[in-house]
Amino acid sequence: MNLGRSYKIAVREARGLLWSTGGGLIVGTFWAATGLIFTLNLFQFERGIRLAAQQASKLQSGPAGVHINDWVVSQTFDLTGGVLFIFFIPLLTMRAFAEERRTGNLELLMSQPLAGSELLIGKLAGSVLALVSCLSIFLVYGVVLGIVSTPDWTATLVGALGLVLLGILFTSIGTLLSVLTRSPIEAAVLTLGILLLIVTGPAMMSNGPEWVRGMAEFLSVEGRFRDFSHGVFDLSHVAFFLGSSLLLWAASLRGLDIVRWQG
Amino acid sequence: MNRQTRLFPFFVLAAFLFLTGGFLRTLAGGSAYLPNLFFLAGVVVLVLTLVVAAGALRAVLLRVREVAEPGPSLLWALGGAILCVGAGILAMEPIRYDLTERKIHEVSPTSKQLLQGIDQDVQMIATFRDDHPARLQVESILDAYRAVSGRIQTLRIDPDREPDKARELSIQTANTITIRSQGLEEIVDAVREPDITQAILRLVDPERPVVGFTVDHGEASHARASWNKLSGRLRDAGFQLRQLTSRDLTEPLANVRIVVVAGPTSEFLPGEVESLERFLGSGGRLAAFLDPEVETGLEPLFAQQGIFCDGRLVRDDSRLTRAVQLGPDAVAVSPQGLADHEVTRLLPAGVVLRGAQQVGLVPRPVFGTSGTEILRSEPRAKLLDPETGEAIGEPAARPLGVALEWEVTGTAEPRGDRPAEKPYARVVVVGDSDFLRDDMIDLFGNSVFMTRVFGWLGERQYLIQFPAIGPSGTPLKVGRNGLLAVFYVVQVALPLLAYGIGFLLWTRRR
Repeated sequence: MNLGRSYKIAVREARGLLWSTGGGLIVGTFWAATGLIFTLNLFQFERGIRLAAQQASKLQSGPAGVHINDWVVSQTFDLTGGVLFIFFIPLLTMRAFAEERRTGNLELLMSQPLAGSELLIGKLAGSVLALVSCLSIFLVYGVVLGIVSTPDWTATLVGALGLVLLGILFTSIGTLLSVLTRSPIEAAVLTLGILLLIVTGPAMMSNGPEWVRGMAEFLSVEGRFRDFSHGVFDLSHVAFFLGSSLLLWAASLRGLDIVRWQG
Repeated sequence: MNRQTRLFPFFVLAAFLFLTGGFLRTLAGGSAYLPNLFFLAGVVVLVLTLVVAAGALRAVLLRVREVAEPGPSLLWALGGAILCVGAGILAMEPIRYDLTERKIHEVSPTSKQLLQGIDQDVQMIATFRDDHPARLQVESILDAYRAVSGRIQTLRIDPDREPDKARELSIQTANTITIRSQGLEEIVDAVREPDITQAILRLVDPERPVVGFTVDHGEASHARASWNKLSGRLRDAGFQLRQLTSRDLTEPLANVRIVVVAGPTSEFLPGEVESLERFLGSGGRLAAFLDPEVETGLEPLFAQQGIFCDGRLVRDDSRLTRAVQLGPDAVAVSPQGLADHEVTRLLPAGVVLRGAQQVGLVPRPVFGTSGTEILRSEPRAKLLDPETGEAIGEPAARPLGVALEWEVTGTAEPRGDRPAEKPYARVVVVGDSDFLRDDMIDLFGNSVFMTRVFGWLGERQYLIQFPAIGPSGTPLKVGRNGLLAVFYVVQVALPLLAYGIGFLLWTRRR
């Protein structure tokens, strides 16, 4: 496997996604949405501090328990991963293969001396790169957090790691569905549906019998991500995110075989 | 394959039916019929779709096997499966790290230290419904306790969904944690670490030190209605309570660990004082809460160890005391007035007394004693003349309580398997007893202070260390204008920049 070729595809893919009118719209809207969440939480934090100061008396010896990580960092991560990703990741992955198939470019690509795995890794990496570019706004938020308060940086970095792992998993799902469909819209709608199902499904299964609840807990992407966003590093979660992403990559590669067979 | 593509909407329909069913079940509860109908419809759609697609899927998979190019998919699938199985195994034996500075997701070092050495099996059964708001917190705390000691087994049950199991486990109350060990049981109704840890420790260590409340001198007794909270909390803290009559005081107080003298209104007889002196001389512990303007007869006993009880009422008209709005006799002790002593260190809030006298240490300590003035009023406090009621003396920070210990001769007897405790006598004297009453014990740090006093006297370390100060906060270093600037930058300027670049690219391409 030649990763150099994958790298070229990834860069081309990411540039195609971001360096375009559509890319500007996607990134701008993502930044506006995360910005809204971030600033709303920041104002809530300010209100929380004010209320705590009003309620506290001089008899209290400890500082009021209003921590910026609880009020801003975790909340922003939770809403970005649990809500925004569901709507934005389909937009980033829908074109990966479905658009190529629609325009007939995929046949051309398949006829090149390029292994399916190289193509898949390139496309996946391109989508993840585009996602990371969207998430680069969090660096600005980090600077803002450092200016306005004294956040717990380790917990913040754990949350960011969780966001990236969740992003990789969701991107893998989007890519698989893009491989399996002929139109980007179809891919986007299916990805949206599946992501909604993944995020909300386990919570809905919590009323079932013991084994169903156990399965729901195991599959609960949101529950696993919430641990990261609250500063908990759990090896089980890392294994789950990476393992399920790998399984999806394998399925996508088999999906490419189906496409090749179809011609 | 086109057939598969056409079948996708049916998969989506099945998913939609499952989701709607789940949503309705969340709203209506597990016994409603409509959600089950949706689930059934979802299953029917899914099964029919799979039946229709089965032949085509099989053909596709067989064909794919024939035409598939060699690649790493098998390796990826194997790696993914191994990692997923690993995730399942790790979920049973979690390897978790709480990387927050405040360590808010794990059991505190105090609990860890206290629980790691337990040598009895402990069962914790949390009885919380699945939709209870505290369910996740409860599960998290159960995980944390299980990780502390292999002796602790945890279980959560939903009493509505699993009534038979609840009955089998003899669970009587919902929304509580039942802790069992050695045939004993404690029920904790607040999901708070100190309560849970203390309940476990009480169960694994059935020894209950006796706290004796003296009576017959007009004292407040734990049996009186206005002291219910005090007695309840002492029992929760693992003490047995009993009354000590004048007759009891004339006999050796062999089984009593701590003697409490709370608000006597008449003098102790010399024989009783001698008995208390002997008790202290054998390493006993004494807590005295003495109101002003009352001769108790205990003053010479305390004076021997360097403690003076002034007897005059302390009048504190500082802004802080006025702010607590408990009348002119109130005295508020701010965190600055708390000494760096085991009893008062890291108290989450100050202490408020009502009608307190000055109790302090003489300037030259008695040889062999180690004492601390643990409570001190604000700097503007004065003393009231008992005759005229006039404030006299210079404004000053008045000592209101002391904690004193000294080594006694001889060695204490070992208790059971435990080595003998340090042969130290300990005394805490506070110039007020009203703060222990039901109407005041919950004010500010009073309750915690009381618990710590008894923890120190009874050498119950977990009572001294709990509760620690709550999770600390972070400051906000900018004002509202600063936040507005942040809003304009991240909410307006940066998204507009991205939109602008997109627009620029669009115009260029045109």
